Amino acid sequence: MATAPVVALEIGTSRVRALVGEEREDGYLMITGVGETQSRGVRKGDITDFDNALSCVEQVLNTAEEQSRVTINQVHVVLTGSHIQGTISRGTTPIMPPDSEITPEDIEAVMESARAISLGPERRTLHSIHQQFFVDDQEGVTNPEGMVGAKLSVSMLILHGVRNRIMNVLRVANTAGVETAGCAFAGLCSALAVLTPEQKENGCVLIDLGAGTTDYVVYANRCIALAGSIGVGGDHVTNDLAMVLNIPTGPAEKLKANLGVQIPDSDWQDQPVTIQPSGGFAGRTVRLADVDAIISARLDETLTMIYDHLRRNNLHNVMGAGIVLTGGGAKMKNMPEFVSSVLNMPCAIGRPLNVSGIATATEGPEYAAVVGMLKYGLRTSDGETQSMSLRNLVRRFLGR
Amino acid sequence: MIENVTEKTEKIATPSRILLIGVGGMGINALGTIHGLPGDHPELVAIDTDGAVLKAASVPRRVQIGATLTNGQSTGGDVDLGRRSANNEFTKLRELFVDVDLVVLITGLGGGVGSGAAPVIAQTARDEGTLVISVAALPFPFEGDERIRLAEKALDLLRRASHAVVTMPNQYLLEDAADEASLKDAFRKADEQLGTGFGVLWKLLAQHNLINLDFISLKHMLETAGGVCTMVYAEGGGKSKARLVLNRIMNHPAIKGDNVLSEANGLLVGVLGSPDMTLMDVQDVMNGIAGAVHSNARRFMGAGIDASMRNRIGVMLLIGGKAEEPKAEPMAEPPRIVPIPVPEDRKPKRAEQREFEMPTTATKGRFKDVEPTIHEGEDLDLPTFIRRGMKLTR
Repeated sequence: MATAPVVALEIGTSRVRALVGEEREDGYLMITGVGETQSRGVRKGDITDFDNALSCVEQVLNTAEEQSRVTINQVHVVLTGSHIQGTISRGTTPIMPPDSEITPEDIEAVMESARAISLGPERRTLHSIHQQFFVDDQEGVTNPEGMVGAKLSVSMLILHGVRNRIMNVLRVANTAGVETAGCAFAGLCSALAVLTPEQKENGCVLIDLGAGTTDYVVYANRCIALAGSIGVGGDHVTNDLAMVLNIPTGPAEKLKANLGVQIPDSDWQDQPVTIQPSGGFAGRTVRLADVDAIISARLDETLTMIYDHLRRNNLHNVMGAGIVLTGGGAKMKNMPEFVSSVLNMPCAIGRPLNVSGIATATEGPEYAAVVGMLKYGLRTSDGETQSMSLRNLVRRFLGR
Repeated sequence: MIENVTEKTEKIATPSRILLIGVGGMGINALGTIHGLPGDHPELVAIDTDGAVLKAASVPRRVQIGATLTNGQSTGGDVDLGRRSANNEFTKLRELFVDVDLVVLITGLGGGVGSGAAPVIAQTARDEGTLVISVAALPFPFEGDERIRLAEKALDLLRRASHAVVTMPNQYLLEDAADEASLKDAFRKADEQLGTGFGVLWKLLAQHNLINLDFISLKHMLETAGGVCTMVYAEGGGKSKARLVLNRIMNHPAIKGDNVLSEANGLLVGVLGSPDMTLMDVQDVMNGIAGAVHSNARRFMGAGIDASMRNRIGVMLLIGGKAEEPKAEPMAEPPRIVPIPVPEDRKPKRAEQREFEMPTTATKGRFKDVEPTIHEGEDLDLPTFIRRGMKLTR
C-alpha cells in the first residue's frame, strides 16, 4: 500500500457514490471499493429529503467498506448546486522597501488580501485559486518570488456557495457516522480526474453534465479562469420529454438514454418511436424529430448559457483544446458532435485518467467528479490512516 | 413588426404577432386612446356594425360586420343582431387571425355588438389557434338593470370563448374620480387604463428588455389564472418614482381593500420605464409587489426601457386567480348620478367561473416542489421547447 486509503462521497441528484482508493507507487489511483445506489432525496444537487439521502449514503458507505475492507471514518465530499458561483478578486500589496526582492511573506500577504472579499453572511468560500500575479503591472507572472518590484498584485478565482446548502450535504455525511475530511466543487473534481496537462495548457472548458446541475470549469491562459454551476441537468431533459410528450418519467428517461440527440439523415424526420406501455401508461408512438427537438432545445439552451459566460469574459476564442464533456449526460448519443456544433469548438468525452482497480469506476464519464474527489483527497490527505478503530467499530455497531 | 431584435432574442422566442381588437363603441374608443398614446403600439383593428362609428375611428384597420343585417347602422342594443352580424362575417373574421399569436379583444359589455358579437369573435380567434385575452368593461351601475343583466350573460359567454377575461368594473373609476368628474372623463380613464396597460404588455413582449417577458410566460400566467384576471396599471415620476408607483398600485381601486393580490394564484408584472430607470427601481417595484402576493403564487415578470416614458415608470399587473365578480352593488355615490343596485341573485356564480381552471404546475413536473432555477427572468424548469414556443409536428 503506497498511501492510506481515502474515501470520496458524492451525493448526486441521480446517483449516490462512495469510492475508496489509494495511490500506488507508480502514481496511478487504485480503487479498492465502490458503493453506488440510485439517489433519493436530492434535486438539482440540493438535499430535499434528509432521511432518504441519509439512507442512500449509509448504504453506499457500507458497500464501499465491505468491498475495500476498511472502516470509513472520514470522507471527502463532492459539492454542487447552482448556488456555487465564482468571483474574480484582485489583491494588491506594496513591496517594502520599494524595489526590493519579493519574499514569500509578500506573496502570502497579497493572496490574503485577495481572499478577503465580502460575500455576505450566508455564503462561504469553498476554494480560492490564484490565477496570476502582477509585478508593477507586468501581467502573467506565475512565481514572483525573488523578482524586484514596488507593487505586487494577484488575481484569484473565489468559488463560494450558500453556507446552509453546503451544510445540509455535510450534515447527511456526518449523521451517517463519518467525519468530513474535506469538500470540493464537483467541477474542479471532474477537471482533476479527466483533463490532461496539455488540455489545461491549451485552454479548454470542462462541462460536467450531471442529472441535477451542469458544472463547468474554464482553463485559459494557464489558469482556471472561470467556474460555475447551472441548476439545469439531465433531469430537465427527462422532465421536458415527459411534460411535452405527456408521458411518464420512466419512459421519458428511456427515450433520453436510448435516443440522445440525432444526427439528421435523409428520412429521420418521420421515423416513429414507440414508447412501450408500462405501469398503467398505455404506450404511445411519437416522432423521432419531436423527441430530438425537445432534447436539443434544452441542451442548446444550457450550453449557450455557458458560452455566454465565456463571451462576457472574452474567453470564447482562447479554447485551444475545446470542450471536454463529462458527467452522466456525456453518455447520451452523439453528444460530442452536438456540443461541437452548438459551441463551434471541438468536443471530446472526458473519462477519468490514470485509474485502475474496480472496472466500472475507471471507465465512465459519470464517475469523473467522484474519482477527481478521490485524487483531491489523496493530495490533501495528511496521511492519517483509516484502519480499524475499536471506538469506531462500536459506534457503528450500536447504530448511528 | 419587431425591430431591433438581437440575435439572442430571435433565438429564444419566435416573434409574436399581437392584435388589439376593439369591438363595439366602447372597444373602439379604447383603441382611439391607445392610438393616441405616445410611442409604438400593437396592430389595432376596429370592429363594429356601424359604418359611421368605424369611419370616425382613428385606427387605420377597420372591419365592418353585419352590414346587410343592420344596413350599416348600429345594432341599437340588440344582442342577437350583434351575434348574427359576427356569425355572418365568419370567413372575414377568420382571415383576420391567421398567424396571429395573441388577440387582446377589448369591448364594453351591455351593448349589442359588445355583448353579441364579441364572444363570437373571441371564439373564432380561439378556433384559429390564437391565444385570446378578452378585456370587458362592465356597465356603470347607473346604466340600468337591463344592461347589467345583458352584460353578465355576455361575460359568461366571453369567458367560455376566451383563454382569459380581464374585467374592468367601471364603477371603481368613479370611486376614484374627483367630484366634478364627468361621465366622459370616467370612460376616458377606463380606456387609458386598458390602453396603457396592454401597451406596456405589448412593448415588453415585442422588444429586447432588461428582464425579458415572453409569450410563453404570458400563456402560463393565463393558464394559471384559470380564466379570470384583473388588470391594473399605474405610473409615477419624480425622484422616488418606484415608491410612488408602488403606492399607487397598492391603493388602486381595482385591488384596494380586496384580497385580489394576496389571494392571487398567478401574477404577471410588467415594468416599463424611461431610460434613466435603474435596476434598483425595478427591484423595488418587484419586491414591493412580491411582498403582497402569496408565496405560492406563480410570478412572471418583465421590465424594459421606453424612451417615451419621460422620467416616469409604468407598472402593469395582470393578476390571476381571485375570481373577481362584477360587483355591482357596493358603490360609492357617483357625482350627479343615482346608482341602481343590482339584486344579489344576478351575480355570476363563482363555480361557473372556475370551469376553465387548468393545472397550474402541469409543465414543471418533477420540479414543482423545488426552488425554481431562474435565469434572466426565465424559469428554466419549464421545458425549453415550450418556452421557445416550439410545436410538435403533426
